[in-house]
Amino acid sequence: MSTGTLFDKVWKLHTVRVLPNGQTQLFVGLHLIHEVTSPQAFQMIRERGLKVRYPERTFATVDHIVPTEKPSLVRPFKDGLAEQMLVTLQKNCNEFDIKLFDLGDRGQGIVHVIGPELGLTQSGMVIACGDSHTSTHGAFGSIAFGIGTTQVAGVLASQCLLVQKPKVRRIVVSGTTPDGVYAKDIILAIIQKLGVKGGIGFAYEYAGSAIEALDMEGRMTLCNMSIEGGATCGYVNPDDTTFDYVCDDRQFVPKGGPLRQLIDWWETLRTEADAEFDDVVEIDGSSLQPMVTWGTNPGQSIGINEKIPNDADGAALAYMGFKAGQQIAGTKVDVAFIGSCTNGRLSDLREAAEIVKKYGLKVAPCVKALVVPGSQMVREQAIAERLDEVFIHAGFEWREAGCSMCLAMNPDKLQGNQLCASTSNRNFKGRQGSPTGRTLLMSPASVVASAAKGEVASVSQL
Amino acid sequence: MAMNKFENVTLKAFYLPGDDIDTDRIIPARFLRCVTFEGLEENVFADDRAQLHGKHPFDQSENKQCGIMIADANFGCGSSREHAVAALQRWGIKVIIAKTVVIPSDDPKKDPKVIPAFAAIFRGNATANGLVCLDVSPEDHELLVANAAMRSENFMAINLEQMTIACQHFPAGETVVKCTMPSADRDMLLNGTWDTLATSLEAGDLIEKTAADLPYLKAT
Repeated sequence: MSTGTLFDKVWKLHTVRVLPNGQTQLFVGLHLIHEVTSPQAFQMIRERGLKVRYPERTFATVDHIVPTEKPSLVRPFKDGLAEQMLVTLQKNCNEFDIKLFDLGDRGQGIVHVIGPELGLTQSGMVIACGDSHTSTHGAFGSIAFGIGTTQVAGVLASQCLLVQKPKVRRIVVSGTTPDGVYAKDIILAIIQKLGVKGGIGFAYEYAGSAIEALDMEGRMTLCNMSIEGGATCGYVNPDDTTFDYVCDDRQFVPKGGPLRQLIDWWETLRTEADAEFDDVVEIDGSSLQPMVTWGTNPGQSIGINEKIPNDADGAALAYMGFKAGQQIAGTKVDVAFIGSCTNGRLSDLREAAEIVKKYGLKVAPCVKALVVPGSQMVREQAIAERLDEVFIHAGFEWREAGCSMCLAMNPDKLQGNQLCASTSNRNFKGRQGSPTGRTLLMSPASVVASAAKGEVASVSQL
Repeated sequence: MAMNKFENVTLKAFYLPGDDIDTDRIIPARFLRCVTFEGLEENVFADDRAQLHGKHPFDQSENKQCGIMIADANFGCGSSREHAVAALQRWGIKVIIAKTVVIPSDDPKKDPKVIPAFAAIFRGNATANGLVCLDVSPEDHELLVANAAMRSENFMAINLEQMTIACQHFPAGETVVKCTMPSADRDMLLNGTWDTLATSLEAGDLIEKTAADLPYLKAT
C-alpha cells in the first residue's frame, strides 16, 4: 500500500466513493475522445437515453484515420470507412455538445499532443481517453488512464470510472544520461529491464535527476510508453519545468490570480519525502545508451551498438529476420518514420532537424522517410522555424498532422516485409500496416541517423 | 440495465499458444475502421491466421465448438481496443484462462512475485462485456493444456463461487485446479453488476460534490 505519493493524493481527491467490491469510483477531470473508440460508446449512451454529464470537460479530435498527404485530405476521404468514422464523430460531438478540434481547426492533432499544448492537461487531474497512450499526460503529475469503449460510455454518462487502485512503483533514474541518450532511450531501457508484463497492477512514478532533467516533451515521451511496460499509468512529479510549460500562454489555462492559486495547489501535490512505495527500482542514468528494439514487443531491445542476446526469443527473431548474437547496427532499413504521440512534438522535430543540419545529412536513396508533426500547432511552429525546409531539403517527406504510420489505420503503411526505423511506441507483428512489416523502435535522433545511412545507426556513427 | 449473473458452465476448451499476444494481433488496426462492433468475429486473428494457412487454432472447426480458450501469459497486451474483446466474444469465446508468471524472490523470507495473466485494460474490457478471464499457476496451466489436447474429452467445468476449474475425464476421473481473478471482477460477474455505467450513475450528486472540490474546475 503506497502512502504520501502524488498518486495517492490525486486519487483521494478524485474519489467519489469506494464500492463494497473494493473498486474506487473516480471522477474524471478531463475526458479526451477520438474517432476510433467513441462511436460505439456514444451509441451505447444514446440507446440508454443518456446525455453527456460534463460536456464542458470533454474534448474531441480526429487523429488515427487522418491521411497525412494534403491531396488526400479532400473530403470525402477515399477510404469510405474512415470518412464514416469522421462524420460519426462530428455528428456525435454536435448532438452531445462537445468541443471537437476537427480537421481545419488549429487545435487538431494527435489527442495526446493537443491536450498538453492547449493547456487542457494540467497537474493534479484524473485524465481518461479511449487510447492506451493516455499515460502520456502523467508527465504533468496527473493520473492518466487508457480505457476501453465501454468505459468511455461510462465516462460520457457519469464522468466517472470504476477502477481498482493500483500499487505504486517508484523508478528512480539517477545521475546524468550521456549525450545522445534521450527520453525514448530511457523508457525503452526501463521496459527492457522490467519487462512488458512487469508493470501490471502498478502505477509508475518516474523520479531521479535524469528524469528531472527532462523537459516536458521528454517527460511526455517517457510517460507515453508506460503502458508498454504493462503499467496502468506513469507520472512525473510537477516542478518549475512543468509550471513554466503550463503557464506559457495556453488556451485553456486561466491567467492572473486563478493561475497563481493553481500553482500554489500544484506545489502541494508532489510526493512527500517520507512517502512509501510498494516497490522501488533504481537505474543508473549514466549507464544508459541509445536503444533499439530487435523483436516483436517493446521489451525486446538492446543498446544500438550491442548484440542481440543469445537467449533471444526464436519466434521474434524469425519474424524480424535476425539471429541471436548478431549486431543490429548496419542492418539495411527501408522506411524511416518520425512522428506519433511518442515523438511527434516540436522538440523532437527540432532535435531531428538540428542533427540533419549539423552533419549535412541526406536521406539515403533506398529509404522512404517521413516526418509527421503531431499536431497543427506543432506543424505551424515547425514551419515558422523553417524545420520543414531542413527536412524537405534532406529528402524527408513533410506531412500533415496525424497518427500516420504508427498503426495502420490511415494510408501510411509499410509494404511487404519492409523494415522501418520508427519513433513510434509499438513493434508488434503487423503493427505498421503490413502483416509481415517489421518495426524498430528508437529515438528521433537515431531515426535520422538510420535514414541518412540507410541502415540502423545511432548519431555517434555519423 | 440488468445484466446476467454468471452461471457455472461446462464447456470444451482449446489452447492458443504464445505469451504476450497483443490486441493488434487479436484484431488488426484496419478492422477498427468501424462504428459498431458487428462482424468483428470474421477478422479475429486475421493476419496470424493468414500466415498459418488454415492451421491456426481459430481455423480448426472443432475449436469453434469450444467456449473456453486457454492462453499463455500476458494475454491481451498492447492497445486498449475493446474491439479485441468483442471479436473474441462474437467468435464464441466465453471464458479465457491464462497463465500467471511467478518470479521467485531473492529473499527466502519473501513471497514470490506473481504477475497477473492478463493485461489490465484487456481484463477490464472483458469484464465490462461479461467475458470471464481466469488466472492459473504455471503448473495448473500445464494440466489444463494437456486436458484441452484430449479432443473428445476436453470439457472443463468453471465454478466462480469456488474459483475452480474441473477437468472432466483427465487421465483418471476429475482434476480440479484453482483459479484466481481480481475480487471486484468476480463480484461483478457473480452478481450481474458488470454494468459499470449504471453503477457509476447510482452515485448521484456525490459526483457533483467531488467535482466541486477540484481546484482546477473551480479555476475554469
